[in-house]
Amino acid sequence: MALHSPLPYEVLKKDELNYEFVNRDGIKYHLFFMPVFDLYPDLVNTYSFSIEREGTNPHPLDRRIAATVVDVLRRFFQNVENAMIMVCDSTDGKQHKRRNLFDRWFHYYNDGTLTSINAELGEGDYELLLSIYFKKDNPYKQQLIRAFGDLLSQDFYEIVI
Amino acid sequence: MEATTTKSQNLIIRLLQFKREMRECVQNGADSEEMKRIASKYGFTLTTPV
Repeated sequence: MALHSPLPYEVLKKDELNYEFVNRDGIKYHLFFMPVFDLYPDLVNTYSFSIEREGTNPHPLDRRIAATVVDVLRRFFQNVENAMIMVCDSTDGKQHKRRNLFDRWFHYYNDGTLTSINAELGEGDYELLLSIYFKKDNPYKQQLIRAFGDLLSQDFYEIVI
Repeated sequence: MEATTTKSQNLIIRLLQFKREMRECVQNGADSEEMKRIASKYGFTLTTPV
């Protein structure tokens, strides 16, 4: 884990829907967690995680954003049974950029207690990058690995004739 | 042939479509009611587990 890490921003819980913080440039970020285990029970205690910002204006690099996200996720993984899925969207062609950014955060801040599985589906213009993260001592680890694999092997679409 | 409704589609596709709509919602100011509507549309629930 990195020494002398930047200080996280203060994170507020908003309406029991998401978490928010505002960075030094006045840009508000929203962090979302959605349980997927109620829809896909084999993914025990697994949540989908997303981070989105308000507005679209570019802004300078801000390392405190990563520190803030990591701080929230560190608290999330204090429950050893929690797991997290990330889906990187390819609509704007930035899916690799998103994956690489999160991978950098993960490798920089991981204290060795977390593990991840990365997967790629499709190719070219239609490509999805998915990852699952969980604690190495998660008691449901094997079930999560199997369930993640099963999820990847499903068809993208169900077509009804 | 016709595509199934949003709630019966593969979880990954639903997550992806949810993220796209939520991104647009947040970029435009993140109205709470709109967030709830988008989550409900795809059969999801927004929670704060931390």
